[in-house]
Formats: sequence, structure tokens, C-alpha cells
Amino acid sequence: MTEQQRTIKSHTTIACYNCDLLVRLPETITPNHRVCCPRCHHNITSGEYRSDQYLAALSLTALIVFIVANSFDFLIFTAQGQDLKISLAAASIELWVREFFVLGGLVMTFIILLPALYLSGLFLLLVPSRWFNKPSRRKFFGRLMSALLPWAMADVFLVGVLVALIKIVSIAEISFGLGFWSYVLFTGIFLHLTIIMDRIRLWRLVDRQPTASATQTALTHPQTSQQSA
Amino acid sequence: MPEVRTQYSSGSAAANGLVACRTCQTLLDASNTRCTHCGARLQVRHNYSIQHTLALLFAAMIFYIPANIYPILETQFLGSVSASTIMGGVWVFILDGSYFVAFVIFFASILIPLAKMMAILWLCYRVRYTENIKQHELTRLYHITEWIGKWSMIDVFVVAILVALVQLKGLISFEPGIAANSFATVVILTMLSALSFDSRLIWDKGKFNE
Ligand SMILES: [Zn+2]
Ligand SMILES: [Zn+2]
Repeated sequence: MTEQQRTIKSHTTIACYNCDLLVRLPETITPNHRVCCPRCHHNITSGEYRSDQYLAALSLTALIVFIVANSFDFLIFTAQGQDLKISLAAASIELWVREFFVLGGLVMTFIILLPALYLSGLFLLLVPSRWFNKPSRRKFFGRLMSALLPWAMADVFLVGVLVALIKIVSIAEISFGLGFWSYVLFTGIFLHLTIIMDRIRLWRLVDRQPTASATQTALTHPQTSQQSA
Repeated sequence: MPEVRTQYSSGSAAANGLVACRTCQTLLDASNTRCTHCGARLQVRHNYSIQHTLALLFAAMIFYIPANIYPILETQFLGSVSASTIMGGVWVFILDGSYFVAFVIFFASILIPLAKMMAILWLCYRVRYTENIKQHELTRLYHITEWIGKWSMIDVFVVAILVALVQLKGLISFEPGIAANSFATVVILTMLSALSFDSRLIWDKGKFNE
């Protein structure tokens, strides 16, 4: 047997990400059914097949909410007649202007850039477009999204905001602006989407374009194409 | 049939002469160095996984010292400047009676980084130097370590928010201390360290390999 023949192209047999055990995925996975590794019990994927429209609508909503979160007042402080309002984007720029590059860079990357990049990637993968039809572009985004996910910290940031508020609640009167509530909503949708899009499902989405190579895979492994239809 | 490689756990892709792409899950022959599907680099196991993990961990430990000695936040309140360390911040909340917040900060900024560094050290030790390891327990430990890591960033974000958002002239303003950068470095290094650890190594040894 040659090297080439041994190459398995389909996603129907996979190696468990956690322990490397070869696991054959069932041909159809019923909704709310989890596929776990029989050896290490790692949650490989689950059969919650939300429609593309649902995912696209949610990621677009999250992106719009994200823009609102960045451009409107995040928190409003009032103390001794002074009013202080600042948006999230302005706050991270403020850190740069005052030359706190590490803090500014962390806020910008972990809580603004990476979550937004992930959602934009997801949205582009879901919506048919000529520019994104190219498999190499889809794969590039697939790789990018897989790599950046551990570093998105929207949820951690929100807890940080609450702790910071408690620190100054005795000094100033604080109210939440539209930007804050938008960021809460954004974080919620973001977490929801990242839980749905496990590794297997993300790459099924990446590979789903009706291009020559995808059609080929679909012909050799009919069950893969059935699920994505 | 390809030869069975016994240094890997039985039934694994590696034992069957295959390698799984860590990015797109494609299974390929172990002779490939790049994934033919997505282009990611392929390694049957992360090369020098334990060495990289430990190197990043020791770097994190070094930065952990200034992160705790130096002030993380400088507060200007009504003209007077005070600086507080991470532990000092926890203490302030305890004196205020905000026990829950004190607990959250203590947990996120002191306990988690320490426990995480110990956990990684323990995982490396068990995988490298001992036989008959408890695979399910170690796997759970690794997943907790991996998941919890980013939550240590809370304190860094608290500083960032206070510095960027709260500047009431003549009343109160904040500046980050030296420890803010050190602490952020600790968190990033420990996260990288956990990511370098290859959980498949846990399963390559022990009682499940007949
Ligand atoms: Zn497994
Ligand atoms: Zn790949």
C-alpha cells in the first residue's frame, strides 16, 4: 500500500483531539446528542445542527452590537459635578496615548480585536460571496479562527469591569451606558457561538464550498455531504 | 497494514502510522510534515512538548516575583498618591467588608496562577518520570488548567479599566504599576505553557496500553 492510499481525507474517522484515539464518527448525529471519546470521554462534537441562517443572523447581530459597544459610552461616572463618559474603543486608545502600551495592547487584542475577528470570520464563512468562495481564503480563516479562540477574553473582561466598579463605587456615582449593555450582549452571543462551533463543525463549515475539491470529497464520502446539505 | 508503533497508546492515530492535523482534524500519513488540507504544520506529538512547557513555565515563575513585589496600581486620591500590590488590593477589599470581591481577586490573581504553575509542573513530572499514571485524573487536571488560565487576567483588566476610564480631575485618577505588565506576562506565559503541553502524552503511557 502506498503512502497516498493510506491518507484518509474524510472527517468521518478522526483522532480524538485529547488522546489521539481513532474514533469513527456516526454517519448522522441526532440533535443534542454528544459524541464522546470512548477512552478519555473528551467531548468530540455534538449533534446540534443549527441552520446556517441562525448562525449567520447571530454573528451579524453580534457584529452590529459590537460596533455599538465600541462607539457608545461604556460607563458614566459622576462625582463632584464632573461627568465622565468614555467608550470602549476610546478607552483603549486612551491607554495608547498615555503610553501604557502593554495594557492598551492587551485590551485591544484580547477583548476587541480577537472576538471581532472570530465573528467576522464566522459570518463570512456562512454567507456565500464571490470573494470568499476561494478554498484557500476559507482555510486561512479557519486556521486563524482555530488559533485565536483561546485568546479571546470578552467574558474575563466583563468580570474585570464589575470588580473595577466595586473599587470606585464609594467615590463616584456610576451608571452603565449603552456601550456596556451592548458589550454584555456581544459577549453572550460570542460565547454561545463558540460553544456551538466545535473544531469538527468549524472545519465542516470551512470545507463546505461547492468547489472542485469539496465535490470530490463529497463523492467519495457521501455521508459528509448529506450532513452539510 | 502499517506497522504498529508501540511507544504510542494502542488504537491511537500515531500507533497506526497516522497523524491528525491539530487544526482541521484531517488524518494523514505520519510521513507528512504539513497538512495537505489546511497547510498547518503536522507533528505526531508536539516536538519537545515537555521541554517547551517547562521553559515557558519557568519564565512565568520568574515574572511572578516582580508581579507580587511591586505595586500593580497607583491611586491618586484627593492629591495623595498610594500604591498597592496584588495582595494589598485584596486586603483593601477585606477591610472594606467586600469579602466576595476580595475572594474573587484572591482566587483569580493569587491562587489560580500558583495552582496553575504547580499543576503544569505536576503534569510534566508525571508524564516524564513516572509509570502507571491516572490518566483520567491527569486529563481533567489539564483541562481545568487550560480553561482557568485566562481568568487570571481579571486583575490586569481591572487596572486597565481604572486607568483608562476613571480620571476625575482633582479627585481621583489611576496609573498602572510595574507589576501590571509583569502580571500580564505571567498570565500569557502560563497560557502558552499549558498550550504547549500535549495531552496525548498522558495517554501514551500507563495501564490502558496493553
Ligand atoms: Zn480521547
Ligand atoms: Zn489541517
